[in-house]
Amino acid sequence: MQNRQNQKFYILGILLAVVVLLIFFNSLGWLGPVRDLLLRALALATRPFVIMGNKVSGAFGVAANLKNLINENSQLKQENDDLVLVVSKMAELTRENEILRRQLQLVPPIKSKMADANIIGFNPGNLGQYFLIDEGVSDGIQVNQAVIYSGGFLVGKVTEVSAAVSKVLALTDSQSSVFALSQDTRVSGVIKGDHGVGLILDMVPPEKEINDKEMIISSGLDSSIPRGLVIGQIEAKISTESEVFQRFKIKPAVNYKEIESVFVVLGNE
Amino acid sequence: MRKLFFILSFLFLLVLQLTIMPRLIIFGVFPNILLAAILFFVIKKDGHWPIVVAFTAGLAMDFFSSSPLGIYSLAFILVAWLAIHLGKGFFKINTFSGEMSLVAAACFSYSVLVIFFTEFFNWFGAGPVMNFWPSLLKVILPEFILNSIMALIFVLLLKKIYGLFAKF
Repeated sequence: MQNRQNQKFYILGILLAVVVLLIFFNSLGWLGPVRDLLLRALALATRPFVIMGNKVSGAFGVAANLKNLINENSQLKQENDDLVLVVSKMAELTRENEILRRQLQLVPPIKSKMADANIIGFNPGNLGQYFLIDEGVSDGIQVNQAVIYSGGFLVGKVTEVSAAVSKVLALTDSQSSVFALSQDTRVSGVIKGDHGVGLILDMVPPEKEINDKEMIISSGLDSSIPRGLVIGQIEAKISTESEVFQRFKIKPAVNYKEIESVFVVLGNE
Repeated sequence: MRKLFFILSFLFLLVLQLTIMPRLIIFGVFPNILLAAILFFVIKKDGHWPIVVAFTAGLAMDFFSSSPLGIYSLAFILVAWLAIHLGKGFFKINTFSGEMSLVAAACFSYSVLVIFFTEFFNWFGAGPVMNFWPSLLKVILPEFILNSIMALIFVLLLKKIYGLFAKF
């Protein structure tokens, strides 16, 4: 009996020592190739599960939010009708803009090069909102490049790159911060993640006013994030009068539970 | 054959933790199925195997997570060791209330240890800066409750399945 107890202590001690050694090797960068190999193996195995996860999440969401779905549905129909009008006006404005650019012989607007990538996994713990994509150094991915969802919605930034896999820090992570701008009132601030739950627009000057439900876009002050990417919509003001800067709760434009593939902004064409 | 079955099951649970579990978000957090598997091993198996399984699961999570390597390995090893000693010395794990108490205590220890090691690594300049009180309310407490419920269901389900296999 005593021998078995001693054996357990020895094994505990050995395993703790192995972990400490691995931490030391990792700090020297020796585990990088091993991590890279494991991530490549992961990329092969997890893609079908990510797609299945979306379907599970969808079913789970329906079950959990049945009560709100009817209200949300009618709200979305109304928003959709309003957006059809906006899109139609935008098309006219774009046409007019192109005509005026040609007439004034202005430089055409800058277009960005993009790489499409599939999501192959997520952070396995609750501390940190990351996801993995199946593009790496060999595909032109670099650290700090912006990651967007179709249509120009900003979802995050690349933070780590290996040969074939990259890690993307989601906007909702507490470590994430992006310079932003309100679309109509042109008030600048900083978008920060709120522990994976949502987004906060911080550092808004106290004298500025932002409209309720106003769209928030990227301001372009971050060198690698193009201007005009949609981030979310103002939901509510959460700062008090005694605070130096105003803070707003932002409803993200993207539902992170539903995205399966993204685009990485590589630079200008 | 049995070892191969355990290895494949472990890999399957790891893939689930990386792909499907992050989609099952309740109150902003998702459960940890690897923790539930470790607690099942603690309850069903004697000897040093639960600690070895905990080490392997923690290392796998460390390799794929954004946190500095070592946080989940250390947390899982200590949770397994605590659970073994609490289970044998304090709780009566052959009763339902004993199992429930052990699972809750282990899940609480896991949440506390992950936060402790994250702060510890941050002290040395590694890993994310954490605001303790917002993290406690938005992450740790909901995670502890969700893990306890899921781990208990998982352990009871696996015990039934294990029992059925043992008959054959």
